[in-house]
Amino acid sequence: MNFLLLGEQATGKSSLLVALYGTLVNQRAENLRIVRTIDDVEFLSRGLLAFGRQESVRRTEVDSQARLIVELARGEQRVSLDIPDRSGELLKHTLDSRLWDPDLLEQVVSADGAMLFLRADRLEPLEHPQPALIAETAGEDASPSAAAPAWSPALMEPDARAVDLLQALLAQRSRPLPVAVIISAWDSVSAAALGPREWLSQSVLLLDQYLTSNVARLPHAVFGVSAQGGDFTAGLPANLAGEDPWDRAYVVAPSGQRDTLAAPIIWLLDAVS
Amino acid sequence: MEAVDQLLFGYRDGHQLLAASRTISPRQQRELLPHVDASFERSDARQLVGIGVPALDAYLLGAIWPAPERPRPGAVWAHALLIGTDQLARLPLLGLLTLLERPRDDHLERYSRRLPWPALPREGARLAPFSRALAWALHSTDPSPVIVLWDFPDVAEGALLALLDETPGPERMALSFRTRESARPSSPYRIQVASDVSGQLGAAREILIDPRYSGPDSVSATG
Amino acid sequence: MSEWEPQSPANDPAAVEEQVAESPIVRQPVVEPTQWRPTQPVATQQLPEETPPAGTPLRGATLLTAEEASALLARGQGRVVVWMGEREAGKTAITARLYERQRLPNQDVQFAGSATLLAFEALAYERRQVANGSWTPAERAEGDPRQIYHLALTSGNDGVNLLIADLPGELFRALADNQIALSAIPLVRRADKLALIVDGARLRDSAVRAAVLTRVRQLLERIGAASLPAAGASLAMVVTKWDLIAEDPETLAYWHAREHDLAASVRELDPDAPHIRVAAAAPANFPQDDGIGALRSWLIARPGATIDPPVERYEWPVDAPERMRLPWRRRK
Repeated sequence: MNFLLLGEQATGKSSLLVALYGTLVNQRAENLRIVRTIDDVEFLSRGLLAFGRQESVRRTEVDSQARLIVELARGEQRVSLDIPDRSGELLKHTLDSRLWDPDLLEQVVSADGAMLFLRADRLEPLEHPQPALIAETAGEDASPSAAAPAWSPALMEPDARAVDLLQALLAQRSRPLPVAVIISAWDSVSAAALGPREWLSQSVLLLDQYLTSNVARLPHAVFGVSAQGGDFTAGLPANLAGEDPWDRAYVVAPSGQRDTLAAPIIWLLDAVS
Repeated sequence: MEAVDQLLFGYRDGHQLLAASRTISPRQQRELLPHVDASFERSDARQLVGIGVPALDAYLLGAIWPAPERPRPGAVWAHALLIGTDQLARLPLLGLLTLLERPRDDHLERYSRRLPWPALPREGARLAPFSRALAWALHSTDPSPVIVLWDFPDVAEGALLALLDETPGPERMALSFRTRESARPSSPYRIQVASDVSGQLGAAREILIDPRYSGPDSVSATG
Repeated sequence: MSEWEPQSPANDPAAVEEQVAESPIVRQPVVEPTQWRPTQPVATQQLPEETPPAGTPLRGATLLTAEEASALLARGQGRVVVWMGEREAGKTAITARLYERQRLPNQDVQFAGSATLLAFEALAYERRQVANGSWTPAERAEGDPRQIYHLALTSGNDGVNLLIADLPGELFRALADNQIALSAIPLVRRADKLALIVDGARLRDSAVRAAVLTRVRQLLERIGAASLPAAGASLAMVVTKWDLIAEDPETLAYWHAREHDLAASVRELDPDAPHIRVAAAAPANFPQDDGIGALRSWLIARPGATIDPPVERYEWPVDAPERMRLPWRRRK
């Protein structure tokens, strides 16, 4: 199975991959375990080391060829997993320049499923349901701002960027693409009573509506993920600091219940089959 | 008076172009990205990159450094000169290394101005075994990419610039190189200089040269 | 379920082409109004010296041509929408607001995609800058064949493609003054939804408000003379910048005294024509509904269908003249 990690820079792709690897290797994923590791996993081991020191995973450079290729056992079933860890800047520049990176395009066409990453702490729910795009005219006191730069795709709102990516992706495929939407840094979500899907419907409305309207081509589920278990810069609370990295990390499933880091992968495996 | 354009890449909500003396479109930035980004094991390392960029009609000569002071682990600085094809063919290049400078603070305005071409070329360090290895790689009839092993790749920068300088003008655009801590297979550079090799060579046939060892097996081909 | 699908390798180009030929949107006018100025098109910024890049492009940065819009219509249910109004009457603001409205919660209509997504984003960005005073709005490039915004919406299992024409106001000025024939604006003849725009800002100006009414009647005459709206098409009177009218009692009274007659004239051509008030660029503290929901309902409604949600009766002061107690009002 080829799964894509789709997300711009600093959206948690590598962090999830590291935490997932730790979960699988240390057999914390219920009936899913690694039978055989096929490619170099130094970057994952290094990432787990960083997590152990309560340091964030290093950013992925643009031409990184790192990937997780493993053979898994799921009960009696065997499945091969291939997940490239591509730089988020690569995706950003694809959207900004309006030109597909050839390698990324090849992966998009052949992928069996994808994980779409959004950072929770960059997309808080709207407190006042007025579109942020309405001009905030303040009457006579308003003063014109300095001359604004000309519009460019880099100035797209995050929700529109996610829709743009999915539209571009579907334009290159003839078959549906199951998508696990990953809300990363879930530990930062202030409205903790919200499940991941409710959070999406309040914070990223355009994307939520787009997914709902296109469910036939984009079957999807929404997960909240904390790969680190908390904010390292603020320091982890004592009860977490002593835990192994793979035990600190957690996922909130679409049901709103906590689950293992492997939950999005399991959902994708079920969706593809 | 001759002048050369410069670009500065660094981390600000992603690795991106922070300052430039000329306009670079998003598509041109995409072309540049693989050559202005890196990962490092050592915080005191540096990489040198030289490669022709047809999309800009220029040759990029750049240096990349780790940026541990930036908010994201793995952040880097990349300072690059964009040498016009005419300048590349005509002018001495050795002195350009002196223009490559890592930012020391957040004042980046100086990277937005064209830089005067160095008036006097300075002689780069000559490393006899290394230079011989480079010359052999360049003049070999085999066009395969070359990996030259050297214990301190950053020390080899002068020799690489000297090699570029000594290459006939019209052929300089095609000479690409990169110094790294670990060389990679399937790289877009004609010459990589590194202290070791990472990953599995052989998918793309590379020539491995180890001038540190002068015995009969100092040159080998992979693949 | 969305009926709009982005073009995929699975589509048979030959079949699509055949369908396009059956339901064409005719290419737009050759007319060269004298007052157009060269403009910057709504497109990704690209340096003039760049050579065309190799590789697979991403779409969505530009508006659609008539042919591209026809291809979309061939793939699913759609509505061609034309705002008939002069320059700066608020046409672009309505288009922008229809898109931005989807960013509000609790919508009864869902966003299903857009083949001109970046063009909408650029429009929204530019509207914000205009409101902030840091931008001069660009006009359409002269002769630019890319004139159509696309907005795919779903309501329950029904999907519809809104194809919203962004035509220069100068065209309608010339049409109203009988300088060009309606046949010079083929999109008007092809339109499923024709909206006569009444510029609320100009109604506030006592020097020009009469001309506003004249313009609407002139356009009505042109439409009627061309036997429009065609079968299956709908007409509406849309008053823009309603917030400016609502806050000025004198203008409100002026409009109230005349809107009934004007609306009645519109309904001589289309008995079901609604009268919709929109405040697309109203400040956040505007207390009334912005009218976009009602406009959207009319746009996506099938011909002859009752507009849903239904309009409410407006509660008039008890001493208002009987003739001013009208059944049509926007829903709050």
